Amino acid sequence: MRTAIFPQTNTSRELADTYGYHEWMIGRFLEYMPDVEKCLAIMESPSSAFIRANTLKIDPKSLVSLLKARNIELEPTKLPEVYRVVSTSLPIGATPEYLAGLYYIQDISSCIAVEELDVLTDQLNLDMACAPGGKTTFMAQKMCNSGALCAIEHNRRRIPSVIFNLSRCGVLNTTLYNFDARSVGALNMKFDRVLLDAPCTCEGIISKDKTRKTSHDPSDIEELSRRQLEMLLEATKNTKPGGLIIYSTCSFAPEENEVVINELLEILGNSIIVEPVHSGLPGLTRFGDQKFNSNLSRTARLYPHLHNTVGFYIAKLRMR
Amino acid sequence: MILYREPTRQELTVLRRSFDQWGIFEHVLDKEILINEKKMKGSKIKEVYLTTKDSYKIITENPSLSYIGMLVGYLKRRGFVPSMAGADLIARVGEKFPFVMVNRTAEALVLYGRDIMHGSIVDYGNVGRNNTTLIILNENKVPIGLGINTVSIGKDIPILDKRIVIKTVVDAGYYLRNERWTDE
Repeated sequence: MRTAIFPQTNTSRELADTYGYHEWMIGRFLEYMPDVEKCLAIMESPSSAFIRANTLKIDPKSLVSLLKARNIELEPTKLPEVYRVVSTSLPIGATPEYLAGLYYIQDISSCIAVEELDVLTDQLNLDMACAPGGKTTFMAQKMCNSGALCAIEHNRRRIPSVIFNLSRCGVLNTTLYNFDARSVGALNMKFDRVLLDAPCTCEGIISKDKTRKTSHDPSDIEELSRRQLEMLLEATKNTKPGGLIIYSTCSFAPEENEVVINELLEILGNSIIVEPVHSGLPGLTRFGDQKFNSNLSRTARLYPHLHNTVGFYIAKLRMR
Repeated sequence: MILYREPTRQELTVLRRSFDQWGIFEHVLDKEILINEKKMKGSKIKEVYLTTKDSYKIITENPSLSYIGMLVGYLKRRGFVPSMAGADLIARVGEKFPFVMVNRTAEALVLYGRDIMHGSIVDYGNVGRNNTTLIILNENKVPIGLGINTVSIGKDIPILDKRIVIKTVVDAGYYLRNERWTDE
């Protein structure tokens, strides 16, 4: 599907000039994003930092006490393991507690994706694009280090970061593979839970990486959208009946989000159910002149200016 | 592709004895132990991994993987030597393992791979003769490294404060010093 581009307007030009974006990106934002300028302004500042207590090693309350002694002040969030860093006198990625794997620095949006996956102990689960291992380690934590968790990472250079984080967090139940997740059928396994945090344009993390304002063009969105659908189709083929799939991206682009799910629903029809995600704004049911399956309103969009997260999309799919 | 194998009977005996000494024998009982042999600088290294029974089943059918479970240490001629992850496991679930606890100043130094002087030690346990491999804890009992005592440590043994008594072998800051990994 071609990336939708909208006619230039004074507003799109002005916002693009003010915040240093491609004009076509702003034109698209104006089509679906509430209060675009507020979002752009918020993304100029670093996003809130969140940490997730690693309950394989420590209970959250003890972690809060340990970090308080280092003048790191934390604030609870809607997830019991996750805290927002209110203030800190030292880098949170260099404390002995971090190095010992007592916590993981991870945006709450990523944690919500894993929370929605409803991971249980003794399951056989899959993470299809695992580097650097944040969601994998959270899944292992939710599984209480039991059962088996297969983690796949296509990029060989990112494998060491996954191993470091698995090791640091005390994860025992994971097998790590280096291949393209579109070939996951080669493992010849059916999984209870599948997480596909798909490779994307990362428009949602502009607050962390300003190069994302201009680093991609419409053809990148088209290429990624095609790849994301292929990965998601492979996920559906390897999930047990009744099993759950979480599809997520850190992109705002509808072609990487609702369009992918809409095409999947057109291909698979009744064999898949879209279940509600309990965070964020409802997913889009139309974009430009495209109208999507009404069940896409059960998917979720998280926006920096509304939800104090990075930009994120989550769809929860259950196999019949 | 890495090929993991089950330990031989002889290796298993050595490992079980070592796990017992480190106080983690019971904890390891329901886990699978795997060995990965590597050649490094001409010599053979035996890495010891722990994983779940379910994960082990997977690799019997799909052996072409990059990594499994947790690298808990190395099997050497004299027995099992923990890795940093192994030291962490021992500190959390082990009993009667040799340790030293260091003050906050030494904590920062250990995380840069520096050795420990006697004056930095605030507590110790189960450390007797020299050349004992021991776990270095900070004052909150968080494992931050693994060391070897170069002299005996005990109440009756006089040691000058400025003397190095623990040689740091591995520390939790090692990964960050060598590479910047990014979190999400």
